[in-house]
This record gives sequence, C-alpha cells and structure tokens, in this order.
Amino acid sequence: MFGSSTRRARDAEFVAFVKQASAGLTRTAYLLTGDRETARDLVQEALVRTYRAWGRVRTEEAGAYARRVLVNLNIDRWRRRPAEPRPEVERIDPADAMARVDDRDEVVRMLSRLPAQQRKVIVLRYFGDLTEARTAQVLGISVGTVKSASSRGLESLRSLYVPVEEGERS
Amino acid sequence: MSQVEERLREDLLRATDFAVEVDAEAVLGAGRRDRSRRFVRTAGVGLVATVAVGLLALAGLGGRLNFGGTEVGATVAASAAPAPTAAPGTASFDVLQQFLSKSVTYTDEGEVTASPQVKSEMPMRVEVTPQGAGRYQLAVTTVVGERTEEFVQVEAGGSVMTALLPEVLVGVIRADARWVDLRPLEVSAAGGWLDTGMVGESGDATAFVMAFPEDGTAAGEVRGVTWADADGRVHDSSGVSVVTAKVGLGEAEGLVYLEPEGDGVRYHDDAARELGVGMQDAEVSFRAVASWSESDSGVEEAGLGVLPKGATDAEFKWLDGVVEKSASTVRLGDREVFVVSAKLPTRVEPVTMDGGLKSVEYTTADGTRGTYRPGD
Repeated sequence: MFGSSTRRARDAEFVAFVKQASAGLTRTAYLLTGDRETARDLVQEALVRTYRAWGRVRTEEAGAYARRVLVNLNIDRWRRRPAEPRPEVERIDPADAMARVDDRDEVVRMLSRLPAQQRKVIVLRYFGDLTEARTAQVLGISVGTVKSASSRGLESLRSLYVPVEEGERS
Repeated sequence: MSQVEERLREDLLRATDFAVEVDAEAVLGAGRRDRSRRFVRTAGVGLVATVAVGLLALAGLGGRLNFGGTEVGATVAASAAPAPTAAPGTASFDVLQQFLSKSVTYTDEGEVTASPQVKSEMPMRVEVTPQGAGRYQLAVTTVVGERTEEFVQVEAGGSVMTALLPEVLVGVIRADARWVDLRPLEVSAAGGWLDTGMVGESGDATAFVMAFPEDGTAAGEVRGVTWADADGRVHDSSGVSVVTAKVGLGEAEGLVYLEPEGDGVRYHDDAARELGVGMQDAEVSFRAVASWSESDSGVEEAGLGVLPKGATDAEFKWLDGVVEKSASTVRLGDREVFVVSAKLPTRVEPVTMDGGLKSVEYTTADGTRGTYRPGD
C-alpha cells in the first residue's frame, strides 16, 4: 500500500489532473445536461469517482477514465432536478452566422431533445472528436449502435436546421 | 463530412466557449471524504457480527428473492444481444469492475471479449424500465452482449429484489426512499456496492443495484434490505414499517431501527455510517467500526450497542486520549440503544474496534449497576 508521503504525491498528481481536465469535462457535461450548474455537479461526481480509482488510472489514462465515468453516470438522474420548462427549439439556418452568434445555446437545446444515448454519441463524436470505435468503448456499446445512434441523432438535428439548397454554400 | 456535421462541430464549440473554474483542492477534499465514507460503509456491513438467529432460509429460492411483489414471466436468459437504447424513464447503472469478479475488456476495434486477465472498468450495465401499472423490466447487459432480464410486479408500497446474476442484485422500492441498507445473510461477510436511481419519467419508484465483489457476499446471500422514506420511517423489504427512532451522533443525524426479524438493531446516519448488532436478553451487545486514511495518523470509530432487557441509564467512560467523542441513547421498543463515535489521534494497529469506549455502566432491570467493557 501507499505510505503517507506517496499519498501526498498521488494527491498532488490528482490536483494537477483536475486543473488540466476540468474545463473539457465541464464543457462535455454541459452539452450532455444543458445546464452549467448541473454540469459542475456531474463533473465533481466524475472526478470523485476518478479519485477513487486513482491508484489504477493515474495520469496517463485519467482523462479517458474520467470522461468515461462522466458520460456513463446516469445523466437523466442529474437532469431530473431542475423542473424547468423545456424551451421550444426554433429552426435555424446554419448559413446565418449572425443568428448563431446571437443564440449560441440553441444547439444545446437541440441536443436536449435527443434521447440520452444519441446525445452522448453526438457529443463524443462531434465535440470530443472520438472515433466510432472509441465512442463505442467509452459508452460500452457496439460500433453498430454508435453508428445508428449517430445517424439518428444527426437526422434529428438536421431536421431542426432550415433545409439548405444544394450548392447554396461551400 | 456533411454541412450539418461541420455546422454542428462549430456550434458545439461556440456553445462551450465559456470560462470554467474548478477548485481542485475542493475536489480532492470531496474525494478523500468519499474514500473515508466508503470504507465506513463497507466496514459497517462487513465487521458487524453474530446476528445469527432466526435467519430467513433462502436455499430453496434459487438465489432469487422476492418481497411484497410477484415475478411475472421471469425470463433469466443469456443471449448475445447488443445493449438497447434506454427507454424513457429507465434507470441505468454502470457497475464498476472493482465491485465484481467478472472481467471483460474491449479490443482496439471496439469489439468486446471476455478475459480473466484484463479488466474493464464498467463491464455491466443494469437497467430498470417501467412497463406501467407497477410492472418493471429488470435487465443486466455485459459488454460482451450477454443480457439477462426479468419482469416483476411491484405492489403499492412494496418492493421487489432479485438476483439477476450471482454478483448483481436489482430491486425496485418506493419513490421516496432516502437510502437503502443491505442486510447480508451472513452479517460477517464483506459488503457490496450499492447505488440507487429514479425510475419512470415522473419518478414513480426507486431502483437499486447491489454488486458484490469476489470473495464477498453473493447476491443470493442476503435476507433483505431496509430503506428509509422521506419522513424518516424505515421499512423492510416488503414495505412494512419497522420500529424506528431518530438519534443524533455528533453533528450527524441518524436513525436507529429494529431488524424486521426483531433479532437486532441497525443504525444509519446522514454521514453514510451503517452499523448493525444483534440483541441479547441478559448482556450488552456492541459492535463498532473504524475508519482511517493513510494521510491521517488517527482513526475514527463509531459503535452501536443494546443494553440488556429492562436496563436503563447508560453512562459512558472513554479511553484516555479520545477526542471528538459523542454518545446518544434512545429507546427502541422495550430496549435502550446507544450509539457512540470518537476519534483517536493516534492509530495503534490492530485497531481495537471499541468505539473509543473504556466501559458502559447501566442500571439493570433489578436495580443493580452493571458494567460492560468493549475491550474485554
């Protein structure tokens, strides 16, 4: 087992890891939950669980481990708490850059309308830049399930954008 | 990449373009507290002993328990099916490898293979899905695609608990459950991991999952659970209230309750401390647990005791050097129950598990003074 001096070193490693990884985790959690405060709580829980496993994951794998814990926590359990009415999502034209600047949280509301698994896949693939295989690994599902969830999620999101004429923009 | 995918990437980046401030030291503190609480939780189940009378015989149940509910079309079957997308209102739990004896892993291509040598962090997902009218689907899917499921019916106010796998026990209880305690058949056995979650889009019920580590209690070796509702009443596995009393211990608020079988008492507080001890008619019953961290030279102890039948007026004598000591007594049915906690600045191993007590003095039913010494 670890002596007290080793424990101090391990804790210092963990603190450094938290400082380095928190921003990415919080942004991922925000996209999954649609609420910054809830995202902070979710990240805190994921980091506490990462600390629990620190002896095994350490710094090399810790980021992947924390992200895996984060997305596999019962997101909907966390999302239950604020009983806020869900705002209607307006169809937006992706060509209209000014409109997106005006309401940059619109995509978060669009994500919130997706089933949890589709939402997780979309966030990991298009925000986390994970491959399909890596996304499957993180979520504990098959690559085929990732592909179908990604396809359905994109289809749903596509329907929320104003259809774009072929060749209208590059 | 399609235009929608490109725009989606841009919008996701734009939506997350905000400053993030996290207090890393606070997270570390939360991690340390969590580690300490988990030790107490495990020890609380694992170190209490000798409540071995009148136990429910489970041998004939095939490792499956069912309290206050009815199994409907139980279909315990393993099949190589991919994990389905969770239905609305489903409670899902990812069971961490560290709580299981089963080892599975992924390959680089995203495929999954079983391996006794290489461990996956989350080899199982448990899902509890409402089917309407008190009916629930309980399912566990391993990363290698083995799915075991069962349908159960929960009567109003009742609960169902079933061992889907030898190492995984799943149950459904009332929506307002604040916590769940496991009651192993062999109370000296090691404890298990437990998590709870809401079921149903309106929060119709609470699902709970227990996973049992290698060499620990098997899922079929429990005699039930107890759980507390929002009003602080404790119920047994079938939803029936048991005798309960509120008690404070230091800064913590706790509940003392009678075992449903009437052969012991248990304590549970908001610091996640759990203790259980059997009852004897003529002698004091007492069990303590200890927790410590390697970064701290001291040790914290907590203990639960029951005076002999008819005895009252417990007085506590503490060991030299004990700090932050606290003791409370409460009447539970016809017995006087006491809970204690203390901190010893210096840990001496092996830890004695005496709750920081030198002795407990009390007045017996016939009016004489009795003395109990945990260290004897």
